[in-house]
Amino acid sequence: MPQLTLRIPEPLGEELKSAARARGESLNRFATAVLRAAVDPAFAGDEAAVLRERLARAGLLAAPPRSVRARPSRKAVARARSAAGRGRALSRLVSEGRG
Amino acid sequence: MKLYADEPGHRAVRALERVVVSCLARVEVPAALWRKQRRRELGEGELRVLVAEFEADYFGTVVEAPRFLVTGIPPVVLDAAARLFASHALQAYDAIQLASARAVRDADPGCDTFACADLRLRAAAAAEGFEVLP
Repeated sequence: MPQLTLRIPEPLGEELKSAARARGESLNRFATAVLRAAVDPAFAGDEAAVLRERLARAGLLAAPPRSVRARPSRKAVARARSAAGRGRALSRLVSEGRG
Repeated sequence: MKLYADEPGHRAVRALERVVVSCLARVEVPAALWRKQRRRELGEGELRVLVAEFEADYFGTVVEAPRFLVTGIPPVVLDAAARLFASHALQAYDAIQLASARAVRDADPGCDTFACADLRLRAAAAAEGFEVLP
């Protein structure tokens, strides 16, 4: 994989590091995503990315710790959802948990 | 919650393309699932499947980005939540959820749908101008 050395203003470098930290990403990974978005429209401007950026700028976006999980099989989830749909509603249990 | 239980209205909630949740969900969703299991309405295996499904949505997987955009609770949201009690009879966490939703809508006016089942919170959200699901 080729390496690219850039000369950029110091404050921009700090902002890039800070933005990458806030997203829980390495500077390399974050900068790669930003550069890719600049040259490939397929990676830029989708609704989710726009919303993410707006929330980040508003100071609202939380960055959950990077902790990749395994998704259970669809069949198991369908069975469990069906079971969870019986009895007291989950939303009611949430309300009860709020006091 | 309707992402994890086949309750009335779940299809409308699951059809949402973009879902923003408060970081409170990290605690509230597993808490509700465990409560259901302790009521013996959910088997332990099913519980673990649903917790894993939620955590995959929240954190992402090796091949998928997180399904949710997660908002934190900055002081500005806490202040807004505290002010909501003047106009709505809400529980404290309900107020944080609604204040978070308002802050998200302020940041992106397209985020004007609020999904919840609690009647008081639904009424408050509707009064605040949200389209309420389901």
